[in-house]
Amino acid sequence: MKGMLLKDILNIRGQIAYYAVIIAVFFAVAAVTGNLYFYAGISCFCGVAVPLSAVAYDEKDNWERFALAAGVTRGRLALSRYLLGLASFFPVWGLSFLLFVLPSFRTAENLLAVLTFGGMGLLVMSVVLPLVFKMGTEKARAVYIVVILAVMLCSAGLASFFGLAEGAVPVVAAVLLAAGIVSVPISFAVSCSVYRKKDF
Amino acid sequence: MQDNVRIRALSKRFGDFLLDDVSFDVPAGSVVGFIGENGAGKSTTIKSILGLVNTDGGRIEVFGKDARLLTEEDKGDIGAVLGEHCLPQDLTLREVNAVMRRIFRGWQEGEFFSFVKRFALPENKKLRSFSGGMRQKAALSAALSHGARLLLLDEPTAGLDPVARDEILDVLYDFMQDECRSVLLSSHILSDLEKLCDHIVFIHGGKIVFAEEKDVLTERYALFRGSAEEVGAFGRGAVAAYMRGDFGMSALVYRDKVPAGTPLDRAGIEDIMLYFVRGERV
Repeated sequence: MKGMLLKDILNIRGQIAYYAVIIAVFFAVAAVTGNLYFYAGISCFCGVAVPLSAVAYDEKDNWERFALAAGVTRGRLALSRYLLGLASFFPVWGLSFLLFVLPSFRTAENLLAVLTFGGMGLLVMSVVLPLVFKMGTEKARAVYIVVILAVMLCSAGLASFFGLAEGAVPVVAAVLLAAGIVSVPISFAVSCSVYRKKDF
Repeated sequence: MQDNVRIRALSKRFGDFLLDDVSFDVPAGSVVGFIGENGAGKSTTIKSILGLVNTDGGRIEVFGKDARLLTEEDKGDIGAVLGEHCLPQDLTLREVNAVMRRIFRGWQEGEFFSFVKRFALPENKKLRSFSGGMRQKAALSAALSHGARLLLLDEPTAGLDPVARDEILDVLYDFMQDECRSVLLSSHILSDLEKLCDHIVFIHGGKIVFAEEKDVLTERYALFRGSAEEVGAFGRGAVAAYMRGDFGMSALVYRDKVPAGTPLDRAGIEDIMLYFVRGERV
């Protein structure tokens, strides 16, 4: 597993730097404008963007073929993608909490928004990764773009909803966070099944 | 002699293509050349041995064990080169070493860098800047650096110049100094196989045409060039296949079934393959 993750990091080090710059810009904009949604929204995509880049490199290099021939099991192949996704998502999402250092961010609404985006980030990853494994990165990118648009719409709706229906906000945040957490093992099981049936 | 690979009645369907009832062995201490046209089923067979495709039927044993039950440790005893692109192209060989050290339990760093040095490969350049030959050598270096007893090589010399091919064949000669080891090598360059192989397995249209010791093949078959009448006179049992030309007929014949004293030419592996694929059967 360590070898798989090291290979991914070395392969996508250029992209990691690129994502880091984007994340820093979004973080700064959120901090300056006082709009947490700006940053929390972008964190949703890290759980997919990073493994998607890694899978694209692996497809080009026929790496999965090599890894399986080397004794890596199909399950561990899938697991390495999820670990990379989670290892990318959690630190970026976790940085949202850093915004709470600023007094203007310390509201219950903001906290619930961060928790909601945490759930959404896990949900996005859970939906997109099995599709990437099934369809390949080229076809799955189209699905990913649709998911991005859907999340953006949800974010806009969420911001309005949080403003209008204060009483329901904690429930929505809890449901989305729980759904996100539950979706990851289900998605992993689906991905393992996709990998089991796949010919390399 | 123990077989490092034993394949029985292997079948796999890919759309219109059917790998059908494939059976052959790779004995310990031998190099088996796997020949056939593009799309004949060589790569699918090799991938089946490695568990990269889900087969539809048959049984594959590696080191006497069902191939589906091979552990990570067992797989470490198999070195594979599956075409030119099988190592991460955006890594340097130093980085490849760092990755492989964490993937193979028996990774031999010293061995890897000795191959890198032997093949004069740059350690700090990304593999994508390598030529096709250098990539093949890098892949072979990795395959030979984790204590493998069995090498499965799919077209390892494809697209290489004769010098590079010779270097790779030299390395394979060295590998075969240990009699427990085996190589299954698919290649279109039949002259390479003639130099190196003890056995030849010929696959055509997803079916095995023959799986024989190389010397038995070259002793069994010969080429006869003459008139259609002369070929006809040998009888059906003596002619494996024939081709018509502008100046008569040439036939792949069974040496022991043509009359003594008949002028025959040696049939190389390439000739035998060509007659089986393109020749007319009696």
